[in-house]
Amino acid sequence: MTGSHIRRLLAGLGVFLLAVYAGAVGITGSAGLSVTPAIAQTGGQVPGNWSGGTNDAEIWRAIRKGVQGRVSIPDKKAGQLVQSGGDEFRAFRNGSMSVIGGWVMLAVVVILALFFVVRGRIRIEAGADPAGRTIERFNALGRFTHWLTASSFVVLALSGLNVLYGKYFLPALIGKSGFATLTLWGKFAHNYIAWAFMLGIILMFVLWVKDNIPSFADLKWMAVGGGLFTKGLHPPAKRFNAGQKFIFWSVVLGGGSLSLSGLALLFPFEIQVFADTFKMLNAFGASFPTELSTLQETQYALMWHGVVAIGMIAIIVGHIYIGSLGMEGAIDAVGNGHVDVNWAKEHHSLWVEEIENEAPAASQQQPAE
Amino acid sequence: MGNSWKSFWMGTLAAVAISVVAGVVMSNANMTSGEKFSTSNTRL
Repeated sequence: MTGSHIRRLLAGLGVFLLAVYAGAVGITGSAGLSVTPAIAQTGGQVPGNWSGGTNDAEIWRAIRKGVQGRVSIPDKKAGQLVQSGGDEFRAFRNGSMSVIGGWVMLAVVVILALFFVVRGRIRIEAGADPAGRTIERFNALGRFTHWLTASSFVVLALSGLNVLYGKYFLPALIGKSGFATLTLWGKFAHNYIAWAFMLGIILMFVLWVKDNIPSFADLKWMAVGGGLFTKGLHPPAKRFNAGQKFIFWSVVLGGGSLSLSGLALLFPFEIQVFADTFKMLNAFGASFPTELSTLQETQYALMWHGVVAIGMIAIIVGHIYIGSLGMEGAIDAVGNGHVDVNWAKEHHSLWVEEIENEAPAASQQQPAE
Repeated sequence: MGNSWKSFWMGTLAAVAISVVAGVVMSNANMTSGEKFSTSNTRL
């Protein structure tokens, strides 16, 4: 081998070693070919510096707990990938609320049935007036208002109960497709007839609030249970007794609350009432959250709407009972608007006196022909 | 008793009529599909 061969060999070897070294530097990222972990280069940060000092597990944990990220689309709510409060809402809605609510409504039916068995139908003790004399209890506008509200309420209650409970038994009865169609139309009926209900309770308030202001006579009436549990006992009452005033204010306040939460559900991202309500309650010492996302607002509205609805259904079932089967002569008040004189004297004696004092001759209708 | 239950039918029919009007007003029929399916649309 000549000297030039050796020189060429050594030069080639040098270039080869240089190439190997360059590659090793690229791989290790270190001129000294150090193979210690990347921590030496990045100080503990994930290479690329895209998540600061947070590892993947912590990022996913934050996402699971509902962190609000950034998105470029107009709907910024999409930046929250997981809203874990929804799990708690679902657990309450399908658990406590449905179960306890179901028992409450069933209990009301059972109690009314027992009451009917024990007490029987509350009759007009003096019997219907032999001459057929009646007193006008509700005029046409009052009766119209009652039925506008009542018919709406029945549709709302049934469609609402289907939302809570229908899926547990209706598919087996009418098939999945039938249940889907029923629920779809039930949703439309619920959303649209709600407006008739809201009009009805506004009219009711305007027409009857002046006769539903609580008074001391109500305390005396309540002290004897309205005479409901004792034959022959008829505590005096004006146009509306304490039980009826309870129904009135339940419908106005409960119905009003259902209307407000219902409007929040109809317009979920425009009407949000709970944050402000909680701020007001916190002024009295409560500690409710006041920064609520639109999803949380909707969940609170759903829970409140469901709880109040169940309470209202329980109350109105009692109202329907006593106004129809439970008491002879009561249904006439909202049927043709005229009640038997003896019925009126037994159940609303002070009201009859007021009418007789105002217009003695006009207080009693011609007998029915 | 000629007008017995007339108010029931009037009230019930009024409820139905109001709900039909509400349905027409609230439905998405008057929206273009671009508006309806926009991510900024808040109608259900």
